[in-house]
Amino acid sequence: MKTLRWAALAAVTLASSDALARDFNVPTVSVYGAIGVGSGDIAIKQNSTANFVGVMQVGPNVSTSIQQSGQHNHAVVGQIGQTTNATVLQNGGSNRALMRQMSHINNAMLGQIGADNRARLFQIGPNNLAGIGQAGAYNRALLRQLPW
Amino acid sequence: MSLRALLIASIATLSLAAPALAGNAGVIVQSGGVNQAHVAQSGAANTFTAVQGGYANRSTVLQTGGSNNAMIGQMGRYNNAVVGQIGSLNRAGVFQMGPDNLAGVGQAGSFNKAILKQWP
Repeated sequence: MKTLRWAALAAVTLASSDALARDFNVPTVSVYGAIGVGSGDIAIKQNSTANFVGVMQVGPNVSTSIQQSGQHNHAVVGQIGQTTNATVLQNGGSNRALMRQMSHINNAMLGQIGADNRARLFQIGPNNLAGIGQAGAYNRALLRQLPW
Repeated sequence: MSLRALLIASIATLSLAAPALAGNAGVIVQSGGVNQAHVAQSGAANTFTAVQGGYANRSTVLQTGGSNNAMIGQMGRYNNAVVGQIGSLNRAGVFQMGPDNLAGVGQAGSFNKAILKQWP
């Protein structure tokens, strides 16, 4: 009886490891960092399991567009200039975004779709325009707009 | 030109000039279970609109400047909205649909207007 019990356990263990070997998807990680000086556009698209992106732009007219699709998405954007534009779209389980803009005209659009969404957006300038859209079980947004 | 015509003309000029003023404009739309939005705007003209739909919704808005405009719409089981405005022209509107609604509006300025509507 004791031998039978061990045999059953071994079979379960083997079946489990076999299933793991066949069904287990190796997670992928994407880390992207970009620094731009001068006017320009930076576009980044990530679709790994965990996505991390950091963008820093300094110039008269700067813009960036980021699209992330994965289980964990993190985006950090900093822009300084005369006109700044940023668009971030995150789709996945957990989404985090931090955006800072400092210029004469600041435009920011942020969309998050996932179970846990958190957004922080800071704009400093005389003309600030911001839009945040969140869809999920837990949504948290912080928007701060200040004059130059 | 009569005094009344002069007043009307000046009001029309002001209303036309208002959108061209430099300032802040923000929109937050949240849909889900628990929604939280915290907003602080400071400038000559501030405009903010929030729409929240979920089980528990919470919005906090603080506007300081010349002209402040805040509109909040909440639909859910628990709705909580707090608006603070300090400026010369303040307008606030809070609309809540739910069994448990809580709202507070504080305004300090020359011209203040607030609308609060709550439905079960």
